[in-house]
Amino acid sequence: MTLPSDPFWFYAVASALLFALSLRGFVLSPHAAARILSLNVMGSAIFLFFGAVSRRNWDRFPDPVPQAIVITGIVVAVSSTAVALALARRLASRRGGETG
Amino acid sequence: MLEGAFDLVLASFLVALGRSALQFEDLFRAVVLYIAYGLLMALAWSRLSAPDVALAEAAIGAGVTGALFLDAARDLKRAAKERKPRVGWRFAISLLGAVVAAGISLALIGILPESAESEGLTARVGQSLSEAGVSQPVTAVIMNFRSFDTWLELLVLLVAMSSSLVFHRTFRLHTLRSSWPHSSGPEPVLAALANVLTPCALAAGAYLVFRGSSGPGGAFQGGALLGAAGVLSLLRGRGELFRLRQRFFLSTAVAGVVAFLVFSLGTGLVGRAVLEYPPGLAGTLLLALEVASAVSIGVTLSVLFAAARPSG
Repeated sequence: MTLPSDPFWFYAVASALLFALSLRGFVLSPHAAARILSLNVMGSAIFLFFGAVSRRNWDRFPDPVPQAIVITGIVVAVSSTAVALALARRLASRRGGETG
Repeated sequence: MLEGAFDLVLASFLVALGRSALQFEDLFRAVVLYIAYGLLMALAWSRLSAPDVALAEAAIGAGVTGALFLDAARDLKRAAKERKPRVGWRFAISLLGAVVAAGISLALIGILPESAESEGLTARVGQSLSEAGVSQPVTAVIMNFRSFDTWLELLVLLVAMSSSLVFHRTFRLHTLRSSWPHSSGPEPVLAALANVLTPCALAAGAYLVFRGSSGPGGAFQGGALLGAAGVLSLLRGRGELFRLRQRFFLSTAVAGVVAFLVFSLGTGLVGRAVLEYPPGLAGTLLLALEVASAVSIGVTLSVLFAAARPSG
């Protein structure tokens, strides 16, 4: 039974708020690093939602499948962040110190 | 009651910290707050009964990502061209964000209680756990039931590593010494800390890989710690870990993908379904695959950190 008072709701709502905040941050980012940072926060917000889903039955065992998916997601996120940062830095050095 | 209050406070702090991390006026401050946000997120994962994810988030999400950002913040902050939109646009975007948040929250309230009645795949995992070769369900899902996804994930890591190396003109694992502001090399505190922490990280990483069979841990968490040891060694400036020839070191990054390939060919040749573990050897084979994956993850994360630095 899922009660409105089960704690996982707090994390589900928090993930929605964080997603919205990072979306706003992404659109309003002044430079490339800020955009990459916003994407990372967005990703972790979505992962938090998965976590809340894995715990939707608070009195039973957690669902291991969303947790496995999130671990995969975290690793893929760090890979894309590394490539994005390398690209941004190479671009910055090529443009002689200007990134948009 | 008390339990819920703690989660409410934690979730609120998480949102507040995320909001602070998204203030981009000072990039360094934003990155540091992002690392703190990642660690608080790890705490939230623990509250959600997901210790494996908490370990992965702390090590990879906060640790490696934070290190990558701190390294890049120096160069990118200097190069940033300020592009602040007008006040009207900012308000409109904030309004859009609020609408998105409200919409998602309403959708959650509508969908989650219904889907909560379904057990999902928990029951299926529980039934098959005895033949999985490990007793930790998350590790069983990653390395056994969804091992194909893990194989492809290791391939993604390899692609990311190759891409980072392509952007680097002359890649040498020992170039970090030249990027220190003082010519005398790394600061003594960093050097001493790296001397102590590198072997600790190596030992803890190896332990986590083996622990994953019966408790929280596994290839990714252990591999992240091995990667942290590699990054510390690089920061130390001496590249002690990398006395090995560079080509040999880079080629160990394919260990995980190759191990899965060999395993899939083996199971195919023996007549079973591809990637299906033989019943008696499941535990041993899984552990072998985990060790290979952890090695390649550690090497890849170290190289990702090193290759993100500008050349020369």
